[in-house]
Amino acid sequence: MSGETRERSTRRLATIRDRLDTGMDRREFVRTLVTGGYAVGMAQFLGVEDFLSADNGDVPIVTALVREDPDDPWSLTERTRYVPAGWYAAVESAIELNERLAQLAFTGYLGSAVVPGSYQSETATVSVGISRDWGSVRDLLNQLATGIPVDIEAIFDDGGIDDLEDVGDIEDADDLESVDGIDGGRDSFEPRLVEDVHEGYVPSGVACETPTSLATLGPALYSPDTEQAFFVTAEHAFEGNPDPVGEPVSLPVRDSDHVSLGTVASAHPVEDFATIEPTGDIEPVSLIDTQSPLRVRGQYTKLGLADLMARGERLEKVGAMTGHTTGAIQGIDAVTCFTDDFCRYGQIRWGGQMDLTDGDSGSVSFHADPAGDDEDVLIAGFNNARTWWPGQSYVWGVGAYRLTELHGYHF
Amino acid sequence: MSDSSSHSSTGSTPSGRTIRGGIGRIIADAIIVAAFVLLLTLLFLQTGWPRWAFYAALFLGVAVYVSITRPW
Repeated sequence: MSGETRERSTRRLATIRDRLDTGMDRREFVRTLVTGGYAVGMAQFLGVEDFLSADNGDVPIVTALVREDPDDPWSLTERTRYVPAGWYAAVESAIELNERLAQLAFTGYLGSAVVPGSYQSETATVSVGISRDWGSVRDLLNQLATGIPVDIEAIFDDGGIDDLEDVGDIEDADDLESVDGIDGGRDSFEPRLVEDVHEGYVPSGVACETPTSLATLGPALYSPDTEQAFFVTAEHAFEGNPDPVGEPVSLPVRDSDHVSLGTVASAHPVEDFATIEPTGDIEPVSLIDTQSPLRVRGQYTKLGLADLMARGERLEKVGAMTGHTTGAIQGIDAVTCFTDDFCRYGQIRWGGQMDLTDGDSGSVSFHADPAGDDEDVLIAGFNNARTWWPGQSYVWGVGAYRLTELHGYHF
Repeated sequence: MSDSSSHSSTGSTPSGRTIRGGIGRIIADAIIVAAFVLLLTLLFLQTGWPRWAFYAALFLGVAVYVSITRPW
């Protein structure tokens, strides 16, 4: 076609061959190394590893915020994992649909949750709780869903939200066991009390006392704004007090007097947690009370919880009444609107009705840190309530990621 | 041999002649290699080819570039 071009390129190739024939001298070798190193550095700067290490059709997700140094709560780093792109897309659209449903909050909407499927299935469903008006709501859902499978979980033909109390037992302030009633507790559980306060710290999973009730002490919650560590428990443990800030919280000790923990620094009724500023000799620590204490190394993100669910992993908790139990995750990013006149967002649903009872509120759900030491765990969220009605039985509470999103706190 | 090397030193890219001094050539190298990496990155981002192919292409490209251009 163009002989001249070809001739020129052959000539150039011949020159290159000549140069190659002379072999690579040392200067050239050094130059190759330096240029190669620069090229690799440039590639890293451009972030090629983010997509190169993915297999075909895999995308990276941030699954957890984990401390690099277990003793330094401020050394949080993101942990990523590669997941099938199809699964990720399904979960993301289910999360979006779930948010849209919550925004609409149509009549009869009681709540909904995202239920990620397995990685092989590459699906995710949205489980929606509805009180009435089956027909019209189903049409509305089908219009909204556009391809996302929707499960309608609980339907009550007549009457509305009031009926829920009859079929389920929703632990709220009214149900919370009073301090006086501990001995003859309805579920006849003995609260787990600390034996003695050794070395000035107390782990999560033991009982703590507010002026009105008994709840479970959570692991230390950290506020990056003030670089402070707080004790933490459920806000509804301060029943009947609309503004519990300043209320004292104490620690019952077996065969001994109560020890003061501190006073409430902030109360969050919607997320249902209260931070307690330490005023005594005891410091909050990132430990959970099991036979050999577990160390909190960080927390899962929303997608990290979706990943756990896709792999069929279970959550654990240590409550002051029911102790150490485990259960399957049932839904993430859940919205619950049936306990109050507002909706709670970013909830986790897991386990069953046996995993929580009055006095366990304030405990955390957690899962072993797959990349950490044997005793390392990552927090999923709080356990604040349980719900059961025909076909449904789960513990629920706000996800740790939600606290971080809203208030910056982290475990 | 000497003839061919003098030929290639004068007959190669005009920029090699205009940019005098080692530093100028190093900067030129840096810019050209950066452009090459960027091109390669965009190509792999689009095609989703595997990681080993990216680094193979990167080093091959650098080796070829070094061998066909004048040394510093």
